[in-house]
Amino acid sequence: MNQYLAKRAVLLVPQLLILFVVSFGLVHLTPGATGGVDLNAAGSENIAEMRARLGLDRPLPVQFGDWLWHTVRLDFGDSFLDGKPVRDKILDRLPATMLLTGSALILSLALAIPLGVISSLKRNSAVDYGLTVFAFLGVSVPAFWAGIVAIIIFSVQLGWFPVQGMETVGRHVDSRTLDILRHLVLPATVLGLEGTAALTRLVRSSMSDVLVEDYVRTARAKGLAEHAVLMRHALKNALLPLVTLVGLRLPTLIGGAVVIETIFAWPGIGRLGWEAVLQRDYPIVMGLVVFTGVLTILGNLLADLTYAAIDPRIKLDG
Amino acid sequence: MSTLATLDKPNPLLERNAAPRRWRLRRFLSNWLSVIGLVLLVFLILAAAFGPAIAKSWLGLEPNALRCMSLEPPSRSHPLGCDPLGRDILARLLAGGRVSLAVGVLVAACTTVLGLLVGLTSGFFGGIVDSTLMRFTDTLLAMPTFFIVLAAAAFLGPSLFNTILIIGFTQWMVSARLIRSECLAVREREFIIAARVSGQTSFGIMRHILLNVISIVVVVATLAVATGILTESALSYLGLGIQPPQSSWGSMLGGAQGYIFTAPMQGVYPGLLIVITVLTVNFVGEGLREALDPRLAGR
Repeated sequence: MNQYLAKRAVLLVPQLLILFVVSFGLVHLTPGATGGVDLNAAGSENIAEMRARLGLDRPLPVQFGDWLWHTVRLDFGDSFLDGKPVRDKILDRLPATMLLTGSALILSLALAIPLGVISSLKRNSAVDYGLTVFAFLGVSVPAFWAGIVAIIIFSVQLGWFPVQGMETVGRHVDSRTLDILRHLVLPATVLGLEGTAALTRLVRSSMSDVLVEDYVRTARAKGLAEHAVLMRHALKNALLPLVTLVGLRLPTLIGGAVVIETIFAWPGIGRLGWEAVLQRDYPIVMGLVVFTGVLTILGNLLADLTYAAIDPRIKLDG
Repeated sequence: MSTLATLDKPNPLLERNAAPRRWRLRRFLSNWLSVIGLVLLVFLILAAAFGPAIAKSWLGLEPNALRCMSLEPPSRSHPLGCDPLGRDILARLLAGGRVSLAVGVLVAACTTVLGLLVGLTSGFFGGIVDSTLMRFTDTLLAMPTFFIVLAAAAFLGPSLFNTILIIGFTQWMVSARLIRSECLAVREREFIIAARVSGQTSFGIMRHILLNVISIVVVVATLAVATGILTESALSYLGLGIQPPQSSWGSMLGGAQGYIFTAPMQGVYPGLLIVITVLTVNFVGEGLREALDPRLAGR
């Protein structure tokens, strides 16, 4: 186990390096960005002085080293708009995003596992065909449109859920938790449904693979009840690949959160990033690229380690 | 297994490529979803190509002309009504279709060229080249690209050209992975070994491999069109893709969101068109996949 852990941890180095180089390159090598400072605003005669003061006249590797040194200590600089540290602004908004993406992930797993199992057991049934259509829709309906339609139907027409935001403002609510939950329903459902199709297909194919295995036949042969065979022997093994896929879904979830948070005015890091882009608040944009990138890489590491821990077939010392 | 035994047994891989062209056509046509998709897609392409001109000469509709009242309801002269600025919605939808399809095709071209470069190199050389390139690809695949897309759009400045470039450079990884695994499979086939033995140059062998992975390239490119259209519309919705006054389905949706109480249909048409376009492209892609490469079907 330790050897596997070490091998997997070594992989982190190139991954993080690529992330840092891409992020740094984005901001320093693109025209009109110059380290996130609009030099034209300073007047052309001051540009040289400004470059010197900001350290932009140093060689790129030196600038990269400097930036990296600050970044690894989570120092992303200060926001252009209000001068607050970028780290604090991101950490302020993080819980809302975790709540949204977490609920979305739980919802899509709660839907995908039973649906996938049913359609693998009843191949070519109505459920199975319905699932295929659902899968096509899942990859073809843009989340932001689904969000708008959901708002039009459930908030505007039926009035079941609030249109936007995470909490009711300016009016007394009996329970803050209930109020947040009511606001959470629509965005979490839209974000969750988006990924359900892919997860369901994975459960279906993985379950189909497991059902023909010898140990399932053995379990049946020794006279176990069918639900025990399915639940205890088949499903447990069929769900293993899900761990990896959940890890791989993290970037998509975070990307989807940007759009969903914008539509529903959800105060998370996705909306923070969008606002920062529109307001040209470059330190925040850069901070978010690095922050979400590192989170995703760590999430994938966690998924791989979990997989190795729960699947004894993986050669731990290989 | 000896060579003779392999020759005796019909090789499913060889059989697949030996299938006459009309078999593949029949296989494509037997999937009715793909046929419907193809018909609809041709209709959408024709509408995007000739629609704006026809709408202009028959109904006098122009996408950027302010000819009617804000949010005017549908009428004889404006079949779908007008947007908040008083521009005809039908004309803007047609013009937006042009943008969406063009972006989709160009993004697909971009991702496919990059995917081919990486995939072919990786699959041809194998070994350390392959593992290095694939590790790089996997790393990019595991990054939240949407934030990078947003940042790039902000730094480079939003425009049609930049939108295509940014999406192309952040979405090629899946294409590269699929093309690479197909190259690796083709590399081990008998005719490549024969080509090696007969002293073909590396370039010649690469050409052989390329010609034999064309079918997967076609499928990958088709599916990339769908991704391109979806990502462009999301970017434009956020105001970071196609810029006004140029029309785009995504930016139309963004503009419509402020009017969900007064004019909800404004937000329905463009989205419906995105869904229909992406669905048809996906149906056609799935049909091509089944027709060209039955082994991949249902994966």
